Amino acid sequence: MIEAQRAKLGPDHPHTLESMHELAVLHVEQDQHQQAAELLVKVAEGRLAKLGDEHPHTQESLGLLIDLCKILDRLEEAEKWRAKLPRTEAVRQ
Amino acid sequence: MKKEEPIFGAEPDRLMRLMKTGLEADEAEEEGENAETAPEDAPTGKPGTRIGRYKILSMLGEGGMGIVYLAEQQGSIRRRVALKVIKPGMDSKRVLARFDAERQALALLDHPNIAHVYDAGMTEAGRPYFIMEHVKGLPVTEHCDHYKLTIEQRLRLFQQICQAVQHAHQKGIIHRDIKPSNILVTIHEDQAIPKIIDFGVAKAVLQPLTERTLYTEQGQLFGTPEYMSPEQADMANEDIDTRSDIYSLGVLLYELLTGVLPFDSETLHGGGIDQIRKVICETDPKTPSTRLTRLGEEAQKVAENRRTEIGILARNLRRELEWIPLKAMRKERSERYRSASELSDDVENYLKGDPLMAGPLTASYRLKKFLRRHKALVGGVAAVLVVSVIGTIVSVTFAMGQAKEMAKNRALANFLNNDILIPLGHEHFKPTGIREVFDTASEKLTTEFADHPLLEAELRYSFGRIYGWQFLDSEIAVSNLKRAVELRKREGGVRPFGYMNYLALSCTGAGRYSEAAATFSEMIETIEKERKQEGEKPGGAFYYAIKSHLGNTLRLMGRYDEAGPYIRETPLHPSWDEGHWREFLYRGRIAALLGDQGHYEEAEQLYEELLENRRRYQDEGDWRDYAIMKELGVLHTLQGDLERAAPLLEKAWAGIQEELGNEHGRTAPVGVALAVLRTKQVDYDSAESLFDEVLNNMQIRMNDDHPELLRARSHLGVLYREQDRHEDAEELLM
Repeated sequence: MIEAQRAKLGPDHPHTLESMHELAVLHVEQDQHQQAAELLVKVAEGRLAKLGDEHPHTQESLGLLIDLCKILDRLEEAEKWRAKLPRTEAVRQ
Repeated sequence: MKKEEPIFGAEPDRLMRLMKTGLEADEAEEEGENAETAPEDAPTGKPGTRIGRYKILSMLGEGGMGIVYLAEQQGSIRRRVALKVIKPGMDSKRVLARFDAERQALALLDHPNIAHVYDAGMTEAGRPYFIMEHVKGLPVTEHCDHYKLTIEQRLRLFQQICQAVQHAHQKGIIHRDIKPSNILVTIHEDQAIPKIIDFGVAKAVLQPLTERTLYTEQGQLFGTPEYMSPEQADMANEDIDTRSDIYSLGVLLYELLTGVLPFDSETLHGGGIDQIRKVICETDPKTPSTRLTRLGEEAQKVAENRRTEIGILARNLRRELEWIPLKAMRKERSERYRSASELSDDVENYLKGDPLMAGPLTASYRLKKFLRRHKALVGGVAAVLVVSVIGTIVSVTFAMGQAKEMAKNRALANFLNNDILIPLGHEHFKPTGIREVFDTASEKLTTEFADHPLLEAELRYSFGRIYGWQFLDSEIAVSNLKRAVELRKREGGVRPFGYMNYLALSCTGAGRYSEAAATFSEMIETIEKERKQEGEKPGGAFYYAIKSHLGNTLRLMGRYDEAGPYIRETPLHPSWDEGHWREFLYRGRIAALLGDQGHYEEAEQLYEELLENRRRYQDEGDWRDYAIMKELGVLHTLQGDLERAAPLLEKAWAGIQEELGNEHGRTAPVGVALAVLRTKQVDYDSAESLFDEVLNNMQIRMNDDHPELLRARSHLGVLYREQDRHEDAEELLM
């Protein structure tokens, strides 16, 4: 699916990023945290570039990525991603 | 609505009373019990006084031209008559001389819908008067509103009026002052009978429109500019013919349909006689549907008086009915209906569903009308498809039309007959086989028209539209349209913008966004280049429409920042009313972009506004209403407000299925949105069966890599994930 969307729409198309985010959630549910985090980094970067930090989808991906980083005990990285959130969202995190 | 001038015969309230009480009221009036006091400027009109052989019984009303009394003819013939005394300011001798000149012709008028004018004379005070048949009734517009006549009933009444005017015209009599207050409707044995009054009076009294003759000594208007033809308003023009009455009939029909006049009184009377003349002679009236939709709250009343709804009335007007009054009211009289009977015939055409004389002179319009009438015979879809191709063929043939083009005509005729008509006429043909007929025919286009590439282009264009609109197969549409554009470009001539526009739109429908964007960009660049060469800035509705299309395509490509300027730049054209489908299209795209960019509240607000406008001006039930509801439902879903999303999406889903059917390309996204909602509502079984249904339909008509199909599958993957069907989910999402 994601490959087809990449080929048709491009890797940074919002629909491609949306499918990647949903796959990352699946990985989380399967306890595949490392895989999920790797995917979410790409989604977060793509959404930040494409949609901006104010977009709810960007914040959703960033929020999940921060949580994952904490689970994986990558606190520095979590902080790095938290800094990319707008101030109000960062406080909420 | 413009207030009617007091009517000939009686004031409305009084008339209603007269109509209800009949002879009793007449008798009472005769005895002077209900007699009204004549105004001071009409010393001759007191009850009991005489004017010539006539005894005044009471005053019935006062109009722009004079005062009307109920009178009784004395002598051997005793009968009730209406006696109209013309207001001061006329040269009585000239008036009577003019009337005398027409007296013989007037005597020949014998029609059930024309009130007789018996006589004319001069009062002792030197004012001309006319003796006419006394008609009890309401002016036609008031009658129609009072009895809440439907559009069809109004048209039937109008036809009777046309027939009466036709009768007079055949006798050489022009009315010159046709207006509602000169057409009274009496009720006889439950039948409404319109009667035209004042035939012969206007010609005697009215003169060309000049400062001197327009106003009475009291500064009141003679005649009625609202219904006056341009040639009557032109003071240099003495050449008035029957087409002047056709114009007035057009205004009357306009008013019967919409409840308002083509020009409001403020516009008409705002600046004296020059303003009146300028408006009548130079300003094109707004279309009836436009006037109606701009009436605001009053439109509701207008619709109620016609026992319909605003949206239905506006749609019927816009579809074609309004063409009739507009043709009758053409400034150039040679462009109007040639006679009142022709006008009546065109009303009959409308009522029977035949093509209108006022309609476009295209073969496809006439064929469409024919097939609409014979839908049962021809079969629904087949009718639409065949007419599209035949229309094209006929128009192409017609356009060529020369003897030297016979070879091309022959090729067209052979193709039409052998590849379309004969298969359609085959004894075993079924409407479901229509696609097959077109598939086979389209395969032969290139070989059969190898010597006539422009004809192939024209036909490919028609085939492209058929595949796009009727078969909902954007891919085949694109291939036909690409070939059409290629041929037109190769053969030179006019730049094929129409073809390119439809090609690009079809590419968007097929999910080929890059190709669509390239074609739209090429068109924009060409227009801008041409305009620059002409020293002008690019502009116009088409230019901005293409820009909006490009913006929308960029939005679908996820290039939101680039899309914004194009989408937002397209201004709303002044003639595109609120609620118009173009407002839905262009402002809807702004809302869609806002939603994509995550500005949910702004998007929601704009969609609500669009829906409100459509509800105000259109009858609900159009697929666009359901498309807006779907977008609102999606926004609520995205924000987690499932309670607000549910009724919107359920309604949109039921409505769009009914309106467009299950297989239509616009139906599927609504189904997907509802399935996503049901997933979030944890109503998994229902969500899954809906996904199955919608995806089946999408897969039939979409390529496997269509972006909408891919996204729908991704949503299904989410459903599987929520059901803990991880393997299924992975298969779809990976």
